[in-house]
Amino acid sequence: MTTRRPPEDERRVALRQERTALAWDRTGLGLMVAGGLFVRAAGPPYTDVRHAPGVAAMVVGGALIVLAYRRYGRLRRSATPESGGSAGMVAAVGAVTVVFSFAALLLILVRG
Amino acid sequence: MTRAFRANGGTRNLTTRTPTKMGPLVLGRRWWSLTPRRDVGHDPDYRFSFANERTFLAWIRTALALVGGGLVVAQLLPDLSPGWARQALGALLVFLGLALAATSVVRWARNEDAMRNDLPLPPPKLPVFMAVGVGVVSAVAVFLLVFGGAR
Repeated sequence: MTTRRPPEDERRVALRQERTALAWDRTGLGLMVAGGLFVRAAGPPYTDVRHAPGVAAMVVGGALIVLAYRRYGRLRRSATPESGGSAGMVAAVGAVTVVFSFAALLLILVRG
Repeated sequence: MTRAFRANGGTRNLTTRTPTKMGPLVLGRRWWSLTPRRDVGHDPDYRFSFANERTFLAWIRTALALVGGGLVVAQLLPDLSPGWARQALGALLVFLGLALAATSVVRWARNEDAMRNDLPLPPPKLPVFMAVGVGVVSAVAVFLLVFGGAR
């Protein structure tokens, strides 16, 4: 039995979507690792409120991976790949990274 | 208040309200106004949108690596002379990451805006900024190690 070979363009689109989803995944993982480093740098006790930026970065990183997976699934099912629909995610990730970086800067300057 | 948004020569006016005070809501609105308007120009080819998005994400990951590196330097490096040098190095790296993260969003928005309006992409300044920033941090680190020394 032979299976239908998908057109060249279809495969390129699929691989492109996969690369983009992986880029989001790596960014999510990066946020999680940076959040972990923040918590480690803030030191014990780990229930303290000063760990909030680190914990938040880890949570956002995890959420990003889930959202990227859902978006990838939506794009794969879509007949016409969406364009420019990620403005919200881009703005959110940018804002989270800026706020997190600022918190890290404060942590180093205040705590050393 | 009218703010000019430039995309390599192309100028667009974005009308925003003058904020009375700098609350989180105002900051959020300002941040959101950086994202490209979808009512001007046309939707760019999705391949270019994806490529722009992946480039933005690569810059964000670079920023996160710098912030993570700064935290590690401030925490794990042996004490340098003078005593504040370790913190200063860490803070420099984190500041570089902070600036990179903020700039990469603007860069993504300008690229998207240029593509929507069929304009050439704005000249890339981030690689130069990154090279100069990391170069300065490296020079400071070498200077501190050679003339200060680890304690």
